[in-house]
Amino acid sequence: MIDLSLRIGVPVIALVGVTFWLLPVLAAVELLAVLALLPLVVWLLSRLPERVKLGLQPFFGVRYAAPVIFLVGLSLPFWAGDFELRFYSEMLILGLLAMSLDVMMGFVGLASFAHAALAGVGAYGAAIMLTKYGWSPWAAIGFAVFLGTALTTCMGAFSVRVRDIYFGIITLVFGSVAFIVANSWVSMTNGEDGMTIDLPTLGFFGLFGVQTGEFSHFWYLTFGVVFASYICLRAFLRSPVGLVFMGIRENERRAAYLGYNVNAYKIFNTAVSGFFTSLAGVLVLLKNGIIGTEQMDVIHSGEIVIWSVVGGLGTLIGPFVGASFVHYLNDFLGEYTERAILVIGLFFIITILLAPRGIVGSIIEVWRVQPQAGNEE
Amino acid sequence: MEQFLERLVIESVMGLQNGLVLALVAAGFTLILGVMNIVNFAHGEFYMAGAFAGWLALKFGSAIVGFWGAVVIAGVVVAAFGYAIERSLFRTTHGGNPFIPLLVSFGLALVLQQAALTIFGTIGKFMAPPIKASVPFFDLEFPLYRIVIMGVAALIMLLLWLFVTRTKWGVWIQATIQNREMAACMGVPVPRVYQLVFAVGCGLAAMSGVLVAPIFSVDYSMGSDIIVAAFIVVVVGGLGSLPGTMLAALLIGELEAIGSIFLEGSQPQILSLLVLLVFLVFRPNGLMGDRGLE
Repeated sequence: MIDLSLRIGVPVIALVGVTFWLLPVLAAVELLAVLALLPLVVWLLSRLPERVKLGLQPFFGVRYAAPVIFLVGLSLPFWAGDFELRFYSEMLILGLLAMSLDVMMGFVGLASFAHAALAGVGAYGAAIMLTKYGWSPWAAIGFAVFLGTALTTCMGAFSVRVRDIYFGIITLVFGSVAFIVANSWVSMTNGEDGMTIDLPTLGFFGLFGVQTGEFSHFWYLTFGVVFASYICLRAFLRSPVGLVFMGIRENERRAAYLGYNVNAYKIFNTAVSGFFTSLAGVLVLLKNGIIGTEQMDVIHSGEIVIWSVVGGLGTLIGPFVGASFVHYLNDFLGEYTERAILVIGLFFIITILLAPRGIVGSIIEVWRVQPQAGNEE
Repeated sequence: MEQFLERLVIESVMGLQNGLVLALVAAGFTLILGVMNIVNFAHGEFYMAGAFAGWLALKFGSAIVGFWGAVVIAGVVVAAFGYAIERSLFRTTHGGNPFIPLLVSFGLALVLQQAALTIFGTIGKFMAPPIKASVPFFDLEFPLYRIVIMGVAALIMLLLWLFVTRTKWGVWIQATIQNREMAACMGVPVPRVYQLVFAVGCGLAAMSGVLVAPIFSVDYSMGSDIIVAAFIVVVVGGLGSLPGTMLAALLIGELEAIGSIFLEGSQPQILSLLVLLVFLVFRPNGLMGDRGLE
């Protein structure tokens, strides 16, 4: 009991203390109220009568939700301003990054602390081909995605040789070396100055061109890519291969006994994750028109981990929620302090200790109708 | 050519010194990993916290304690801090999903680093070396303090090794590394061993932080600067093996020092990564790891 109250008490007291230390009183109260709202919502949901839950459930399933989200996404440029479009595009890209990490962490149980660096490799790949070699935009993007995927696969192939717990260590080493290479290979990457590209126009079979500098065009590009990625990943992770991934996560040894080549599946999984990570990296490049080495920092990789975990590992939609929520926290804190990550880090620790399933995972858990006694799954 | 040889000798002495300090940091890390199954991402932050603790002790208590007193104080204070962290954050995560302590320690690293940045600012703090003399070495003066550090670090490593191999608690630590459940069945107080190992590991990191403080400046990023090298040392050295850690630390220290003749900045780390990859392919158990990592 003492241990439990220590576990809950220490981080919560630290969070409250740090918030009041860094922020003015009113803002601190507001922030803590928002954070306290999360467990409250989960608790209220758990109190809903089962009849209501059963009645509402279909509307949150992909069959109803996906078309609604699709229509909202298509119509967004007609009723949102440029600033909002840019903001939502950024959210979707961050969500895509977090989702690609979720593929590894949530479905196989491989923690990667290199995802920002891998996305950076994708972005640099495209930027180098566009500016130094004058490749066409599509060729550059293809090369970037290939490079990012290949590097991630390579990282996975080396890392699966040791136990899972070391995986995080090795990814961190890979990430920091990628950062060093980007910083010191000045003739290719311009070092610390970063690379600037002219935002290209992407032609689609000569039918229409997407001018990435236009906010509405870029929104459609991002929305299309992220929506398609989500649908593909969702289907992929529900396929037999995806089930094997989850089997490995639950019990690696048993999966091996059943005759699955666990290491091959893990490497395949990192490749899939790397594909979507470098895609997100390319989108980051097209959004900003600039890529700098600070984007490959270990702290940034850690932020991606925070997004996924806060949103809910293994839920695929959770990382989007987590990225948006943490980004909102970051903006809120950023008005008052430069050390937003201090508060976010404490919030992250509390989330892992108290609700390791994250926001979406916790909601799903209480939302699901409990099976009746004698009727267990 | 002569100049090159001179540089080579000087760099290898530097590498020896860096390697010995690295061994102290990595030894705590590998013990925590071996005993508790926690990848302590925050280990570098304890090293940084130690340097700041030593700096504070010297700043406000220089009348009472000297430099070596500050080393001991930092070790004790940070060990107590580590004990408190173990009791509050890691205690309840034992035996569950190893993912959770991993992520907790990662969050802790972020929080400690940012807290140091908030409290102490970005500008590095200077700490005067306790020994200002230097010895003539070729045609330049080599600071005696660096040689003293080597001796001190080697002495601490030796004491740690004696502790782990010759005392009751040390044997319990070894037993826990070999087989946690069986050790618990034989009456080893495993939770106490956890607390001890975590506190000792943090204390070791803190002491090495103070030792190198007069060479580098004390700033918030020093933890993340050393942690990657410590990770490589742990994987190359083998899980929970002190002699392996020592060897690997010297190897990595020398490699990065000699590499710095040809490369600049943090580029020698690329060489360390190559060594790590070679070990992952040909010897995933590390130099001296007797228990497989698989």
